[in-house]
Amino acid sequence: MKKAWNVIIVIVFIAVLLGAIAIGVGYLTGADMEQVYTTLADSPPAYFIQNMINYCTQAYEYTQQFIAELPARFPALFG
Amino acid sequence: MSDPVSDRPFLPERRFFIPEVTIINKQRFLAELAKLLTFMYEEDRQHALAAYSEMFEAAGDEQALLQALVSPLRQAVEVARAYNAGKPALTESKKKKAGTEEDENNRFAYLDTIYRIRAEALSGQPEKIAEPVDEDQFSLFDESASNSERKAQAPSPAAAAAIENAVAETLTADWGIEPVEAAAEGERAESAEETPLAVQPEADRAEDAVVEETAAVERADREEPAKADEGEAPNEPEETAVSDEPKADAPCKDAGANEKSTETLAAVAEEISVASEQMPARIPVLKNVRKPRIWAMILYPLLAIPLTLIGIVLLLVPALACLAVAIGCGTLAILTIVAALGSFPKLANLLVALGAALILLAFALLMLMLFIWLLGGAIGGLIHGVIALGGKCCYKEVSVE
Repeated sequence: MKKAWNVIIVIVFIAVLLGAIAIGVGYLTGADMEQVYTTLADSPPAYFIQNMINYCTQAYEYTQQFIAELPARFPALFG
Repeated sequence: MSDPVSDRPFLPERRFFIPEVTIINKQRFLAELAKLLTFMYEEDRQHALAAYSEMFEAAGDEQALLQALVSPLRQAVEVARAYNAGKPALTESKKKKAGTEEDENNRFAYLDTIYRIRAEALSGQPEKIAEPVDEDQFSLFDESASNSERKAQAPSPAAAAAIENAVAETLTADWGIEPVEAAAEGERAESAEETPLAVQPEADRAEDAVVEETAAVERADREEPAKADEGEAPNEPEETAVSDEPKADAPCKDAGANEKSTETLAAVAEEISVASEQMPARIPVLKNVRKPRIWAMILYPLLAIPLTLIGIVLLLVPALACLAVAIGCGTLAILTIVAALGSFPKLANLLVALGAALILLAFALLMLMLFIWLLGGAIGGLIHGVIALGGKCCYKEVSVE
């Protein structure tokens, strides 16, 4: 397990380093960050993120509502 | 004709010098052997130990003897076989009539075995010379005089032949156990018997040459320690220099060393006998046995199972959360890469998107590893620990003879 952790940490470190270098190089060579953001916002990742956020929000609201209705649903328990 | 002094075969340099280090080895060997031979009658055991002690005394190279003997255990097994082989015969003879010669032979069969072992062990090495040589005697073993001195004082051919005969006689008699004086006398007697009267003066001349050669070698022996102190032989190993030191007054010091070693051996034998007397007749063999605790076996599962389940659930929540994050980040990274490759015509924008996707992938990988660790390492370790704790609580180890 320790060896696996070492291998994973090395891979993660290399991937993060490469990603940071790519972002830095792109930024330095004239990347338009606003265009990147708007493009990704209209793309499947943005939809995916939006869907995930919507799902989490709905789950939170449902749980909150369930907890609020507990005394009414189980009066014997909450007196 | 070859020079009898320089061409002589290998002979032990340190005849009477017994280092203290080897005495410890021998002492340990004898002590262990004494412990292993406790099954014998005390008298027989003392005989056996004395025989082994003599074997060490007779050995020229103690380490070689220890290697030949292999181990005290092996020697004890050999002696035990011979001892057990002689024992039934003794019992039978006791039924008939004790004290016959055959009984004695059977009883001391183990001594024959020891002497056979001694012969085998000492066959591959020179035996130590027990008798010290007088100061004015010819020494065949000291390599002291230089070649020029030897050539200058070289004996006549007849004398050289006489010396060679003496060397051969000495070698055949177990590497020089026979004293040189006795050998010379024997040589003289032989030459007197075998030599015809016409040749007798030549034999006398040979004897004179031998005496001259002896005196020359002894002079050289006296001179060599002084040369060694002056550093004339720097290439020689230190051990050789140390071993040569007693040669200045070799007979006296060697005799003293022999007496000292004999005293040491006697002290060792005494220690062994005292230690063997103090040893218990039978050493109890203890064995660890696990005995169950019934009340713990009932209570422990009642407590451990619910607590373990709670622990597993508590660990499963972060594990599943890590898995969800890993899946989400991985999916997002892949979608980002797909979107970037299809939407960005500019390389700089593509690099930024790909870099962000790579970082997301790394994070997903880290979360996946955390999930595996929580599932396999933490939860598996918890279950394993609970089982191990149950083994310790529910059983106790008891030493039983």
